[in-house]
Amino acid sequence: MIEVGSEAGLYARYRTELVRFATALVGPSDAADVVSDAMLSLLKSGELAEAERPAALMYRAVLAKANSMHRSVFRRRAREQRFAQRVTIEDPELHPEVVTAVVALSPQQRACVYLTYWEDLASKDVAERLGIGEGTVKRYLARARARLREVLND
Amino acid sequence: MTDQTTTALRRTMATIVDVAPDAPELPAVPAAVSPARRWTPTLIAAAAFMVALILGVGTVMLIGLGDGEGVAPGSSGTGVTEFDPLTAETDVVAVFDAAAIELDPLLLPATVEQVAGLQGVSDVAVVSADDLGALLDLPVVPGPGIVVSTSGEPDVAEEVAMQLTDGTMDALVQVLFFAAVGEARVERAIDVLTRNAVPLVDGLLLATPSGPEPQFDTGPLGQEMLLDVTDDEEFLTELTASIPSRALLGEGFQNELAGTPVYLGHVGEVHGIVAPFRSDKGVLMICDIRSIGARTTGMGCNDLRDGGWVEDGVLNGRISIGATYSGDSSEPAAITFTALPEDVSVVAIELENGGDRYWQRPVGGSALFVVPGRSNISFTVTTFDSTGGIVTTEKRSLSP
Repeated sequence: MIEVGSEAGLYARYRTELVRFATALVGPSDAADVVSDAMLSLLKSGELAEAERPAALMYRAVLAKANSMHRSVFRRRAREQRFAQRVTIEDPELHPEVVTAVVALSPQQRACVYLTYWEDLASKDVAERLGIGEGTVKRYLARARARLREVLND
Repeated sequence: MTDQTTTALRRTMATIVDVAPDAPELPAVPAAVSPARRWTPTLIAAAAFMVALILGVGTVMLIGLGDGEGVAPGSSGTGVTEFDPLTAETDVVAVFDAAAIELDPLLLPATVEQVAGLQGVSDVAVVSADDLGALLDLPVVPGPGIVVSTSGEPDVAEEVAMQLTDGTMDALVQVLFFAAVGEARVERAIDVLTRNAVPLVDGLLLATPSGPEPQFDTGPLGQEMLLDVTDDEEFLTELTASIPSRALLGEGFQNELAGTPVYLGHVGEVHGIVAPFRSDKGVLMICDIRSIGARTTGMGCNDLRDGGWVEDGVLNGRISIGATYSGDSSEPAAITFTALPEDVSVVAIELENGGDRYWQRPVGGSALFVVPGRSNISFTVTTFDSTGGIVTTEKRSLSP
């Protein structure tokens, strides 16, 4: 049995959302690896067991790993391109240009978009979860929305 | 109120979630791993001391390496106001305060790592937001991001991270960062250009194919534009002699040849050569030279400082393509791409006027397309990796 509040228990509680979050950041092919790497880092550090806000810690760790993965932009773009094409094919009603625009956002922007539009968090809560300022979240969202508005109005 | 953008975003997020894989099992951790060190008053005091030390060292490095006119002798502390970034050609990238590495774990470690990992960048200086503000005389606004901490003493209870305004960031990047990155990129491009080049005639090397072989069908990309290589030594000697050893380019810059020119090949009577030049300001550039017959008819240089290197305050590692066009409407135009990423297998262009499409395997990290001269040439250039994945794509519109 998994002890509630233990590292395993915390992971069991959040893992589905974490892998979805990672998918929004790096695409489906790398999402599981990113979550796995992030959790390994947290377990090694021992921080998770002592964290006051374990969910925020796990989300930040996933974002940090996603950032690392994005160092090679060329690989990233090729990966995102494949990702975007696959998503477009799987949902013909979706605006493909929106998907393309979303995957072109930076990881931080995408993280904010995901938490706002999928998890329905307010900017303040997004900021707390990612450990960044609320103003930054609003700025990221404003930029993302502006970029997407351009796409939708084209 | 739910507008069109919100709806589109929600649908997109839902679709992304739909394709999310199953969550992995919790990874096993080797036993007897010590917990990470936590911030304690003692550690904070020690860190504050280190921050102060690093700030001083970083400042000295900035001043000491800024070896240009108008650069004052080095001093420590806040003497950065004497540093004139506009005249500095430094190997140093200025970033941040060490405290931020702990306080803003989302952004800074990767950023510092990326900067330090750039080829040709040997030092990463650390400088505080205050110092940068003084240095650039531009406002610094609160918010987490690329530049950090004011007091030097890390305060884990409050957000002390700071972010430069877009204008400040642009100025910083232009002045301090691009200088280092541009040089690194040119050096890398020249390395790719010459690494496997072979002597052709005295003073001229021949570029050899670079990048992986394409493993995809290049047919849809149009016609392959093959580069021929002449073996006429007399012609090649004459061609080499026509390459300028000095050139006036840009705003009064006097540029000198800084290495052996490399011959790409020719398409018809148009020959392409790429060579490094260094300006009298010390800026290294990669230059493409177009010759018609054995006569040099055009030349362009790029210091590779441009490109979208920073997204939302985070370095993204992007390398843009340097493209230089020379020619006029009465002569064939040479479109040369240099400094192509090493994983580029195929370069393809599609001309907008008429829709002609051509592709080419790069040689020495470069590609040369010869097209009919026009007063304006618009095209889309796309580079592909060996699997056919797009590495970069962009539209260009060029005029002689």
